[in-house]
Amino acid sequence: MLRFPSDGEEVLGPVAALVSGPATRFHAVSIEAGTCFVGIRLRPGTAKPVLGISPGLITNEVLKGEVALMLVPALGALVQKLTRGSWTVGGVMQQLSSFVDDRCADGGVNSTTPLIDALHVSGGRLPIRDIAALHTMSVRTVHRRITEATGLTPKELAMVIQFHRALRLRLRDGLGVAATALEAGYSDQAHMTRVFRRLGGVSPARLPELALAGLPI
Amino acid sequence: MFFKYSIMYVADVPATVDFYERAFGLRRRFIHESNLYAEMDTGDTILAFSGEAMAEMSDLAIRPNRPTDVAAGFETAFVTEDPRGAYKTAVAAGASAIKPPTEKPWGQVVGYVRDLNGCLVEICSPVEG
Repeated sequence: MLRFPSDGEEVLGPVAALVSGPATRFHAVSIEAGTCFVGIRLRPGTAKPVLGISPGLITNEVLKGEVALMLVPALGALVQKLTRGSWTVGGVMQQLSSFVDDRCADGGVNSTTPLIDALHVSGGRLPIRDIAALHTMSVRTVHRRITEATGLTPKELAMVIQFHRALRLRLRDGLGVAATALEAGYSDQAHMTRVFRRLGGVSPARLPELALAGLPI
Repeated sequence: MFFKYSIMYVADVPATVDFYERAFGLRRRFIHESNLYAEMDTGDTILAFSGEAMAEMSDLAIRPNRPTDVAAGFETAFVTEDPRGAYKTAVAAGASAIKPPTEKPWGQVVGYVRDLNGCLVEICSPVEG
């Protein structure tokens, strides 16, 4: 993620890098007027080639400025280039996009991708033993591979995927709270409410109008 | 309302289309350039295949069909005058043999295979009378 002062069109000051690790809880961010963020959300399992580090090293961490550059030195050249020149917001977006593309030439697809995909396709509802059986692997191997690739244990990743889907069912599809809890696979409404508070800091019944500011979930 | 499509979510759409052509003699109507959707030429009611990624894009959650898993609780049935020959063709094309065609008390010949994704497919003769 890149943060910089802007009027919405041009970059008006220094560009700072932020790297947000895989997370099992939300981070409240205070934003001043005139601050612009441009970011790319990496699909779970694709972070390692892009960042050059194991995502598990930065689970639940948000690295800012110098710390981000120290851990992901490749970002340094990009930040320098963007700080020196004169850029539009769209230009910054393009630069960040090609930075990620260049470092992820194979699209991040590898032998662990199908395991992560199975969790996505099932909305986080397939137990790890079923994923292991579907791919004729041991539970231990699946656990290790997913944890290495994503920085989250399969259970944590499943919880995040299930939460994201529940959010989409509420926000995008307008499903009621009870129907969402049932379809998303929570044991009951109270269970879903606990997860929403822990992962999103919000209540499923009263989602703030600007939850995620219209960003795709 | 009328029954127009039966859509299976599959891991690999082109491979599934290819398999259904070879195993069951169907023909493709088209494969979308994204390789995430295809329709077979099955008349008014269309057998279609959708990539598993499409399920997530539509906010759906599914249990992926895999040959290593117990089959999902549905089947697709193809009618032919020669179910025994069709069964052999399907198995030769890579379908998993489950139950070779046998004659039912009502005279229909019925056999079962599983497709490349593990979905049940029935191969049967027309019901007489």
